[in-house]
Amino acid sequence: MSSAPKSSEEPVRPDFADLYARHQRAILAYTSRRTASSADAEDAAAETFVTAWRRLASAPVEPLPWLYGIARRVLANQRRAGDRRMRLMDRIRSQPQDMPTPHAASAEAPAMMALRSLRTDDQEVLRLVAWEGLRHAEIAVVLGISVNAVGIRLHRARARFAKELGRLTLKGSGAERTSDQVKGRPFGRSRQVDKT
Amino acid sequence: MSEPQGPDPLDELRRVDPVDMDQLPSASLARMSARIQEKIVDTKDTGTGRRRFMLPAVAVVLAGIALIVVVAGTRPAPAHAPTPGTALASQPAATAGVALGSPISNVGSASCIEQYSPQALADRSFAFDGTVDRIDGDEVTFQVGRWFKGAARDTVTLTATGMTGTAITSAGGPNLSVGGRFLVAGEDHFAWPCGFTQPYDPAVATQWAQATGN
Repeated sequence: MSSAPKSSEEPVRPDFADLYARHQRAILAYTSRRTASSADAEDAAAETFVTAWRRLASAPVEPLPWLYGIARRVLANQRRAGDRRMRLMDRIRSQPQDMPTPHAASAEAPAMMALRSLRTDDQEVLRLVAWEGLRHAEIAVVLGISVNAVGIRLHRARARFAKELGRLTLKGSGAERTSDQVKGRPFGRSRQVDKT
Repeated sequence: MSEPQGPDPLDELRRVDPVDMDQLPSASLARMSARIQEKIVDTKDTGTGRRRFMLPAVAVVLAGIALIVVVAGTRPAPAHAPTPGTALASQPAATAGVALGSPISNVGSASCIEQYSPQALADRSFAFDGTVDRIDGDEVTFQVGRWFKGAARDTVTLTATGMTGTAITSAGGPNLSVGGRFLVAGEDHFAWPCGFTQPYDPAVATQWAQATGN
């Protein structure tokens, strides 16, 4: 229990109420992206904030990556404690069943399939960039690794992802499915592959 | 290592982000808040003393906090709370001496996640003047006398964790009892503590009416 505040006399610690108000959505979104049901996501997010409250004395000035790190460990604990249900959730990850987002139908998109084909560590670093929008230094906090290690991991993960995505996109009718699925999304671009 | 040329393949991943942070259901956020409360109360383990933590004083504070964390909000608010003991401290280790019952104005950095004020009240999805008809665990059914905001029904059943004596008497809300008349506000099906639910007072009711335009 030696994790003392970094600055001994004048730590600029976040106020819990402010921390919760500012980051509740980000943390719930984080856990929702990585669980299969809104109930599990809410539970993990709640556990994250309970843990954060207990450890508030060691919270950094910018707490969001720190919160993500806690959430990541909470989810890991859930999985360790878990059960076949969690393994099933891994397979259908990113498809919250009762989270009424317009994105739930994207689980079979090539990008999602490409993501799932990667190692867990690679998946996570890519998600943190693409979905949480974190920078290298922030990812380093979340994952508990050096910024250099983040750069290396991200570089490799991105290359593997691009390769797999390219393979899936070029794979027969997959091209058509890709464009169809992209077009229906809020951010979707106009289709690039014509149906023939 | 050079970065790949051309379009970023992660753009495809961004497009299939399964969750839109701005579209998270308010019910999900409310349930998350409620679970925070439950978990902290569980940690305290109020009934038997089967505790893993040696936090006698802090546990009391935790229990108080539990009843405040239940509310999800976004706005820091001025120090006005009609109910006692809404101490949510920013530094747990430093709050052991902050007893339940400390008024917010005396606690310095302490605050509810969203503190009561007439304006904060007006932002809630429902607010009414009602009498407790039935209590079942944390579920409380009210006979509504007057709706200030929200669906105008004669009765409404809400989750009022911490206000029904099931876990711990609320530090941030009243102890609801059958037949008691209360002013009640909250989100979804959660009655909020921290002044958003309080014993009926005609002056406060007038304030609520003005705040909500009803």
